[in-house]
Amino acid sequence: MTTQPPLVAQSIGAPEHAPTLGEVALHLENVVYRYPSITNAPTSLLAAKIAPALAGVTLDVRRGEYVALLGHNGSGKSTLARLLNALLLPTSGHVYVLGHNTADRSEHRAIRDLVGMIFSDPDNQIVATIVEDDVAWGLAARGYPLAQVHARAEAAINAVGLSAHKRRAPNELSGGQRQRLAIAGVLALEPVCLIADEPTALLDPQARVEMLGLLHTLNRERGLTIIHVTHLLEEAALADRIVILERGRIVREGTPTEVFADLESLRSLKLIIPELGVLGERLRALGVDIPPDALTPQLFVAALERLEGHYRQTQHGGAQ
Amino acid sequence: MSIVVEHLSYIYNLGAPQEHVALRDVSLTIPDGVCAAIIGVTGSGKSTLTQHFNGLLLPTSGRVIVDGLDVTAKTTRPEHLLELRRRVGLLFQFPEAQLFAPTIADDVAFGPRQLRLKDKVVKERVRWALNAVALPTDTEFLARSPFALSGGQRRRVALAGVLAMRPLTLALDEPSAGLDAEAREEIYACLDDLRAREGVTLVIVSHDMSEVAHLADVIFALAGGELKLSGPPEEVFKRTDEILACGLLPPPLAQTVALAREHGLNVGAASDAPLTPDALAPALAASLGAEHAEYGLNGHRT
Repeated sequence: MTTQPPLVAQSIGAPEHAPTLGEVALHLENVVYRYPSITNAPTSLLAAKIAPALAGVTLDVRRGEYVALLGHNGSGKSTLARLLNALLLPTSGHVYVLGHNTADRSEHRAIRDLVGMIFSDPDNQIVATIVEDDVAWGLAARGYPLAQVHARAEAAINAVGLSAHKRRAPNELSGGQRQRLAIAGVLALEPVCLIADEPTALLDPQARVEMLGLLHTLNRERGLTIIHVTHLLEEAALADRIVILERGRIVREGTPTEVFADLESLRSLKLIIPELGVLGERLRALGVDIPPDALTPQLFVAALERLEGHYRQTQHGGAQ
Repeated sequence: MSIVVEHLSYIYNLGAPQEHVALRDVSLTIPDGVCAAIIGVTGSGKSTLTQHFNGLLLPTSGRVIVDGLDVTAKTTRPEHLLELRRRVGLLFQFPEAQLFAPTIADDVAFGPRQLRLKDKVVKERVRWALNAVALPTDTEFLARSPFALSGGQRRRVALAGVLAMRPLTLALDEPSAGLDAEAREEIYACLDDLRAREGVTLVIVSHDMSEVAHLADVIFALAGGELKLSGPPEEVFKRTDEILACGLLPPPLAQTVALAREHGLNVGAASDAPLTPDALAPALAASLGAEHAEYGLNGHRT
């Protein structure tokens, strides 16, 4: 896109080039997960009468990939996310993180350094009373030399744009800033992969856009592998790949263009079709050929521009 | 039932070191029977304002008049507040967290029983309320535990508990937060129904600008405890700069129309259309395809 979209502080356009993907970072082999007892299961599973939360998932994620994990409440996406850094261990099947099997407890430290995780509520993982202490905490707990702790914490704070706030107390920060602080705490450990489980759920509208922008920046500029768990199609629209879960199984997988080609079938998976998706459907019914994956204002307007150019050309060509 | 807010200010911890002005000189009117939305970022004062509508909070200064009932710190007597809370139902965020009774029937009946209504009347109200939220009313369902339901169903049981008080106004804090598509549509259908059939005035507090554009007749945008913007969604969301200044974003449909205009595209009637796909699609198609269609016609003629 040539012009800066004016509506958002940190807008997200279409990825300009396909990222070069590396080795397989995460490898899941026929993973089944069953919550051990009814009381530990998320309540959404109670209604499902203890079907396994994951019912045989096989998936590879390459280094540097941005994968959106989509699904409605109780589809198994958070369970899958928790299996990726050994917070949960598979009931059967295997999860490998850069070759480390999560079933091997002696590997857990290494795995959790490689795969960091953030959740909807950053307050659950903020431990210190000063921003820079909080970011340094994970490094200090692992016994890194002090100079390295400071340098890495500083770099992580800069990477999430909190350098102006490093001496402040986390509770003085906005929700979006606290979520960025949680990311900095993860980044300080220099992981290969960041799992973000519904990271925008509690954020205000502008902070949501900024968070999405930050995740894409970390992916593009640092090659950080991102697993973005979300129930919102529009948040998945700019991912390299979308994986949709339903009843603990992968039911769709592909690029946003491939997956969004059939919005109607996504509706049957209880996903919320964004209003821009519905507008596209209505326009297609009227003969205006908007692609179904134009789910952000920027992508939608780009599609409108192409169409307008096309119409103008047709008119011009015909006039000769 | 109308709500009139006049010069309302509310200060938390008045006189204490941590004194905090949550609302500053807010005046607004919500007419009878409309669906009003209150929008704003975290800490903008939305919930504080909403809690004044049924007297959970009383004004530090100014007043709130709910259907002629004047609510000020000075004039409010307990029986006055009781009547107010009968008329205005308040559904908090994630209300399913407040379910507590062993059975669905008991949970929904809790409010009416507090009013010391006769058992028969209570039963009628429970059935009516569950019906209004599109849940079954058979004895088997009534005897079930509310905790064995899905998230969306539990939220509707919580809503039924409020409706069983037969409020004339219903204020809902983030009614669809955390629900999947199906559950969300069910809640919207309940709300549409309550308005159409019962004439209930709705006040919705929401972060979701698409939801607001879809449901509300009138929007009030708060920032820093002050009322910054008000009007119908299609007008309010056109004022992009002011919306951004409130820390908000217009809904994607409004962003798209505005962005298209900035890119020099002819958006025609879409500029003033209601912010729904059904209204925008024909307007956009007409403005985009008009020349094309015209040309096509000429083309056939030549």
